[in-house]
Amino acid sequence: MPRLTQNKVFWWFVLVCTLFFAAVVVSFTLMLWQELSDADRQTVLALIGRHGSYLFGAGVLLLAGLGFAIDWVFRLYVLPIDKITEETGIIHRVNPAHRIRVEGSRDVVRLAGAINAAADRFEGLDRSVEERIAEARSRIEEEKSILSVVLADLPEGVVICNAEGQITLYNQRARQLLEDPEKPAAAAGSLPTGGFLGLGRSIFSVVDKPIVTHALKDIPEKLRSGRQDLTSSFVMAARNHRLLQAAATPILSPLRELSGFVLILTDFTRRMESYRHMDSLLQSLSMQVRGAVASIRSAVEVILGYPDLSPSKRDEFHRIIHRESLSAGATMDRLRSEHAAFIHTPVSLSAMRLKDFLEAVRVKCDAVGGPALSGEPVADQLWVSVDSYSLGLAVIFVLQRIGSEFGAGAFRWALETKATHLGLDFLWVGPALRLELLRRLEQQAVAVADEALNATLKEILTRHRAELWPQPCGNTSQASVRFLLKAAEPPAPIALPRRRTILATARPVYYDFDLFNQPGQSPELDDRQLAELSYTVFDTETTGLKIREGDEMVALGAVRIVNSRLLESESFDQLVRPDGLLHPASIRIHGIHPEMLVGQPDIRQVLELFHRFAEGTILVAHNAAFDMRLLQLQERRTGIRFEHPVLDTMLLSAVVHPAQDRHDLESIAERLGIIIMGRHTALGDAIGTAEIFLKLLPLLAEAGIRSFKQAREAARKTYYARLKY
Amino acid sequence: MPKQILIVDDEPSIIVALQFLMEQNGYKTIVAFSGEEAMEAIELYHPDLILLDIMLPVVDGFEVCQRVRENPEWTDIRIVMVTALGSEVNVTKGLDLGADAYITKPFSNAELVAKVKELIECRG
Repeated sequence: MPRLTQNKVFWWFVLVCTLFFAAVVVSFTLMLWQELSDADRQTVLALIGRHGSYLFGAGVLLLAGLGFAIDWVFRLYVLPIDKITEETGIIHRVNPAHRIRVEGSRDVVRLAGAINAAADRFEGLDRSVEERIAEARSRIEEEKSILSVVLADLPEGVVICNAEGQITLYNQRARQLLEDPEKPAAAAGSLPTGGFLGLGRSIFSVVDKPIVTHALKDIPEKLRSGRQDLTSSFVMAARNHRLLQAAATPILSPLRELSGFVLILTDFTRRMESYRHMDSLLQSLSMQVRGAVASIRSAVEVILGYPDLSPSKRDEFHRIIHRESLSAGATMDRLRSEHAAFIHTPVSLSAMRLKDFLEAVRVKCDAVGGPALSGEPVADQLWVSVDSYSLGLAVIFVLQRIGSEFGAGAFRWALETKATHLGLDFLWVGPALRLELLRRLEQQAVAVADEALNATLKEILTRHRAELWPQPCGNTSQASVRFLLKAAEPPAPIALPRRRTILATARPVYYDFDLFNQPGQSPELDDRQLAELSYTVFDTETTGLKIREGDEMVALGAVRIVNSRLLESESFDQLVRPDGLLHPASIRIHGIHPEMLVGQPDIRQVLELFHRFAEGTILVAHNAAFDMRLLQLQERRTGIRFEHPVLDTMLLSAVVHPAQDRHDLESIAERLGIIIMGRHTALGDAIGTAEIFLKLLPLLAEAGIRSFKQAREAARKTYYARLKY
Repeated sequence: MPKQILIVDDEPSIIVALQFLMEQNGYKTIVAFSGEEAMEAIELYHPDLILLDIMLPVVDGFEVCQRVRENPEWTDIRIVMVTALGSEVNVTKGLDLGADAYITKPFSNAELVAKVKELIECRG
């Protein structure tokens, strides 16, 4: 049944009451008239003729009284009860913590009180049920999180897709491999170039379809022939130009039919580059050395074969031999250094601040009762590539041995920075160390207290491309031993979201196996169920509110909803460099200052990326008219059209709660029991809007609005839909 | 009239040696440092034999060889590839493109002279 607005209800009520009253008066009058004799009727007519004005006055007064009575009944009983009905729905369907606050007659207020009391009890029960469910769920989540930790820590990317290629699970590594540009972003604000990886998205937006289908096509044949090994391996180039080695394993239904596949991805780019580099190094080595040797050999053979060579010619050949031998030597040197730099970067080592490494060694040394360590403060920007555990033990091992040899109980560290290495010296008061002792130590397995490594000191040093020698200290009473460690580049900073917006219970987000039974996206959107569609919920921040007068976007935040799940990890959070200035008033609201926008991409770049991010989904925004307008105003300039279907949470809220006056983000959030973190940040508001949207879905279903078409039409009919921005 | 030999290489050192060797054996030499120069020299002098390096800037030795073999007027020119590219693949490629011999750097002077003599005399 269509919901009526308050005004309509009121006038229906007035009409019905008036008609009823009129019917009662007319029927009584008619019945009385039938009972009267002719003489009485004449008398009555005469009386009416004489005192008509009194009767008319009484009639008007009666009607006015009736009007007041109707208004009184409507305001004290009808309206509050309507509101109570609506809010009771909120309590038992969406937000058990919601309580009815209503003004009306004493009875109505008592009724509201009784419902609130029942709600208290309901909330208590609901909570205990929730707690039990949560307990049960947490056990499952624990198992899931073990799986997610395993997946997250895998060096390989893992993507699981259904038979249509829609992604149902992936890990962070897969995202890096398939989304991030191959080269690290050079400038702040540079944007990814390929497609997006996300639950419900198609894998084929990030990898080429033919290569995957090719890998999977002989699976039916393998199944028929009863082969156990169904995995096929191939190398492919992702859309971000990374070269990936992939293994595709089918997922089979109980009927042994293909219901999906797992892709396991490893980065092949580096290895390939290394092969290529090696190859060209060897090529270049052999070519240049062959060339030089050829010149030398010919020259030598000429000198030997023609003893009567003129002195000037002989001299010329001598110079050739000299020049070419120098050139061969230089070639060898260059190759050796390039080769060393390229190949000798040990893979198992990771970059670590020297400061942190030394602190860890100091603490450990203390813990195992080793010598006391101290030293000059170490600059933050010094990094070394180490396996901190083994090298740490090796350092302590050496210091302990020196300690016991020379009775040194304390060491002081000192640093010398070289071009590509760091000299880490440990000084003690006592006699200098002999190289022979070091050589002996190098042959021993490293052991400290009860921790022993299955490797000699030499092996550990070699693994680190490190060297160890007694560093001369001149004529002092001190002695020193130097560890020469390879300096490392600080690792690229991991981009953190600008402002954390959070949800209390963070669930692992990468699970959504229901998608296996999802049909592919179809243009028959109107008939699709709201709960099964994919949405991009977004919000913008602007330089001001007058977008028609040139105010521009400065931030765009968005999250995705797939299968009624908010995928917080698949968010879009981007600042935009506007052409114009930020109004101080807007800075107070969103906290984005002009200096934060320096070096950020412009609107065209951001919208292009956002268009890809929102591909194949329905756009949702609160007060979408404003945000859509903002996007449309950029159309001519950027050439990017947003033709996505749109839903507006403000209108949908008005659809499900027509009796409520306020449909701003805060009021709805409060009503539905949602806490919005990061209010007035694009991403924060987008997440808040998404949560509101998810809570509105069951309420819409309750009102019979289940398909996209129904939602669109209901929204259009609401009063708010007539507001134009 | 002495036979003419075109020496094509971008390495001056080896050119000096080759030039000396060829002249000592009674040949007249012309020198080119690149593929283009080689083509001009062939056009101008129509040498009897070319000592051709492969790794040349812009137009490489393979291409020079191919162009020479494409021109029916130049079928009598002998081509000896003298190069640091020593793999089986390159030898085959060079010979298939029409080279008469393939000598890998570093080579022995005697071997090279013998090969040149053999080819020029064979040509008559």
